Amino acid sequence: MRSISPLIIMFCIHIVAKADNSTTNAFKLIDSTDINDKKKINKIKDDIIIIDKTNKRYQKMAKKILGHSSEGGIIIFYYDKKIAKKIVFNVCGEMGRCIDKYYLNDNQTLMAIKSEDIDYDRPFYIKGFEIKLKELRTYYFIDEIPVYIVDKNSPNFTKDTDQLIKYLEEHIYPLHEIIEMFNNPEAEILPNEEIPAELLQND
Amino acid sequence: MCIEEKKPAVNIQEETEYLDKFCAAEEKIKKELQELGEKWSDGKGMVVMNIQRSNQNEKLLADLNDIQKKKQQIGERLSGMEDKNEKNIGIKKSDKFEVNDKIANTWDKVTNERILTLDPRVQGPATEFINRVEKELGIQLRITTAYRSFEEQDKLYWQDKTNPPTGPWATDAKGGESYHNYGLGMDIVIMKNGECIWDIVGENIVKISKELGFEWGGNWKRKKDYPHFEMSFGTSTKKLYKKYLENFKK
Repeated sequence: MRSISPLIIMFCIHIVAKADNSTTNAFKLIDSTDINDKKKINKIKDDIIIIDKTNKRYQKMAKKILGHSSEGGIIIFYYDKKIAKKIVFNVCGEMGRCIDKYYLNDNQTLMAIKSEDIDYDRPFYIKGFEIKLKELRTYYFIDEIPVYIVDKNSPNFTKDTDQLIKYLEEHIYPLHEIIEMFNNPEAEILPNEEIPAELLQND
Repeated sequence: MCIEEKKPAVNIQEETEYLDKFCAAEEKIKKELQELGEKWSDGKGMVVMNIQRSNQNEKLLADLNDIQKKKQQIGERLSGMEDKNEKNIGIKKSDKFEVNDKIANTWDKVTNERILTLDPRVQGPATEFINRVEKELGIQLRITTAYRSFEEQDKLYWQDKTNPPTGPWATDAKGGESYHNYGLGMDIVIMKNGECIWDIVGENIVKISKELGFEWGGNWKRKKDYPHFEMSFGTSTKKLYKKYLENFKK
């Protein structure tokens, strides 16, 4: 891996954090029946495809994070020309794991979070454990306001606005908290060979 | 001898009852011998003071000798039973953890064994947790894992990173990065008719754990770990690992 100047990293992170504070501290939900919103969402979808396709060209830095689950976690920052484009956040528990992918605009604001939850039928240390449930949800952000889209993989998820907002606040880390975790001096850089292959896969 | 011993006695209680009877008989004979002029040193055999022994003395001395031999045999059998009992619940005399009647005395032998692998500071609360949940809520809990060695943790960490992988990706924690590696974490499951029920534990169970000082894995923000309970004592796994390395060097 080519080395990245720590100063540049800090600068990028600072920009992202600043831009994000105004949007993710309080999740708001809007009805995206507006045709312009739909166009914007489609544009974001296209951008995500481009980011995922060019993933391998980006410089990446992975760090191990502890203290946020029982079985540890990993954060990977992807940079294109020294600008953060994508952040992958993962934590493992004994009964499951999650992978959240944060996609960023060129102006370093958040445009989407893809959130995947995997539950096991029994703890992973019991031989023969199997995946019981797999859920994928995507949250799109239009003009810095999050728009929740119910994914076909999670049809049972509630559409009640208040509950959705509560869910987002309780279950998804705002971007600035992810950045804080990454910048924590206790977070060690993780060698590439120790990054689980599944985390490096594109959707 | 007037005491009939049904050999072999099958349990500690029965053996102890025989032992009590022999002790009482021994005391009685000693008293009689004393009255007849014999003298002895405690537990180390007779010291003959009366050279001219009567037949009665000889008979009593023979009985006493017989009783002392049987006492010794019972003592040996009892010791064997205790060893076996200790082996069954995973306690060895050499273990660093002290066993007392307040620790590892839950309904479940498997749980008792696992409690004894926890850090000594956690053993008492863990025992109380299982016992209180059973007593107050009528729910039987089993500890499914408590202490996990560094080697076991490493094996789980690397299983998906080998070529070919030997298991699925399930943990991001290496040996020393989980509270389980220090005996500070444990996982529980509800037991019903001998079956494990991997349901989310109820709030009432969590309430008891909190009162005892446990932190619950269900409080993690992102990936909730409902069966997991831990006592970190305000120390991160990173600091614990550092301390472990320092001790190892010493």
